[in-house]
Amino acid sequence: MTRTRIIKIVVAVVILAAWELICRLGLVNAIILAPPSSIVAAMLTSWRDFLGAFQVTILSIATSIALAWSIGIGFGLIFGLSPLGYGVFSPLLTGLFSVPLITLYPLFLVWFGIGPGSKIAFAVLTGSIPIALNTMDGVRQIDRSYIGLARSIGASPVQAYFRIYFPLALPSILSGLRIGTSLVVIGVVVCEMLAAVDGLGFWISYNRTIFKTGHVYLGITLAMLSVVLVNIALGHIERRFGAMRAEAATATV
Amino acid sequence: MNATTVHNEKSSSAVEVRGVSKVFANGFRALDDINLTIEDGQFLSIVGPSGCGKSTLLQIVAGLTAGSGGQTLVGGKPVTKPQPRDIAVIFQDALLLPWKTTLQNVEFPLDLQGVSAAERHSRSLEMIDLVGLKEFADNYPAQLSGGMRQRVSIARGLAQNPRIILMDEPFGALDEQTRIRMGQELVRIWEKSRKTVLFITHSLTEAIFLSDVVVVMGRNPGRILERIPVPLERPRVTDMIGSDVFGQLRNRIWHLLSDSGDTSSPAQNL
Repeated sequence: MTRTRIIKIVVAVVILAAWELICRLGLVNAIILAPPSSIVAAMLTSWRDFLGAFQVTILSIATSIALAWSIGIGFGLIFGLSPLGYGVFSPLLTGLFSVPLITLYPLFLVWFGIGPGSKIAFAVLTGSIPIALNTMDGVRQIDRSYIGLARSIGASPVQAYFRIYFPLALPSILSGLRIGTSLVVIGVVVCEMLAAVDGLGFWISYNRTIFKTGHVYLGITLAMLSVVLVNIALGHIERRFGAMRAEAATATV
Repeated sequence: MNATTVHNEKSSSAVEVRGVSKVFANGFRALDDINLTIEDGQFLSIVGPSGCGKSTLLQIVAGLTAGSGGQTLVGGKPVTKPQPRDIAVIFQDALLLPWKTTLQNVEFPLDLQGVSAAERHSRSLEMIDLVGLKEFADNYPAQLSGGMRQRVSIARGLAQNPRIILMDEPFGALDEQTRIRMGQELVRIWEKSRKTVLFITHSLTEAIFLSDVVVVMGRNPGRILERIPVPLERPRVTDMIGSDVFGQLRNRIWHLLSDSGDTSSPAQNL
């Protein structure tokens, strides 16, 4: 174990201990600041509810990510290469991207109901926009001569997209995936907090209304855990996708 | 004309351009009634000022652009779309795929065409060897110089084993020194492979040094001014560039271009 890592752990333990101590000494109201041990207590009493909620949330996030990636990349590849498509959709998506889309959530509730449908639809919308925008930009920046090359070496349209244009646009697509994926996670949890019947967001909201601060902290901790899990998965995919690019780039002498 | 002569014509000329014109949507007449024959195994260069339509002509022969009129025959058949098995195109930029090594880049067109791994491997290595990059087969484009990248792109074209190679100012993006070396390399490679080559350039020296025939084009509208055979023997050596024959040819082309009212761009490369 490295020196830095030991120091990190020591710092974390000290902070948690100080926090626990402040609460135990009664320096603050337990509703405002519950001790870290209350998270453990909440876990012991309500682990069944939270485990279920965690599963619901993770499943919604995974579904939304799969949809947002496919829609965003597909849309971007198709319209990025056509000047007309880019001209029409780039300003439209850029506009949508700068609007707080959460204001549309009530409409999604009407259309898809208070179930997984509405939050997934919302998360996919917010997540796929930056992915589509970055993909379009990445594709547009490809030297047009590559299109001539693709045709002259006999690449079919499918081969050209998958084996030439997509990898050429990959660096830009990957940064879109980073932004889009974090928006998906935020979208799912926020929708659950606003109106839902299950999921981590719902349990955080619910326990807040009945002043069970320990339970709220547990929900937050699990929401953070889901972000960490998504980031680990994303990192793996980025490395796999980017391995060839990175290899080619870092090899520069 | 009887059937036999028609057959002979087909077998001897690799490329035949008949009355080809190109008018762009904005009314600009890029090419006007172009007639051009490239014999099998011939190295033919086209020189001309920017805007004379020489690149457009190459695009039409490549099947990448459609002409507005006339017909282009390659191997006796009209060209309407790219012919990856018969025609390789070398562009001004090497257009390598940065995530692929030299070998993988050269293999790529063969891979797309479904050539077996063993065959595309041996064919590609042979061509990489021919362009002198044997030791760089496993390097990525980022590790290669501009000249080396263009050589990879030439190897990629040769590995397709086409009958015709179309080169659109392939050395235009390189510095003068590299450009001269690449010219020598190309002559050496061509003398070994004897493909039919259509070569587009701004440089008169390059055109004369490489070619059997130099075609001079003028602009407004894009048209052929003259077809000039190059009487220099092969193999070509750089000493020939200083010879009287060479100098006279260069002057003649230069005057053709000046008389047509354009002296701006070839002057830099005279």
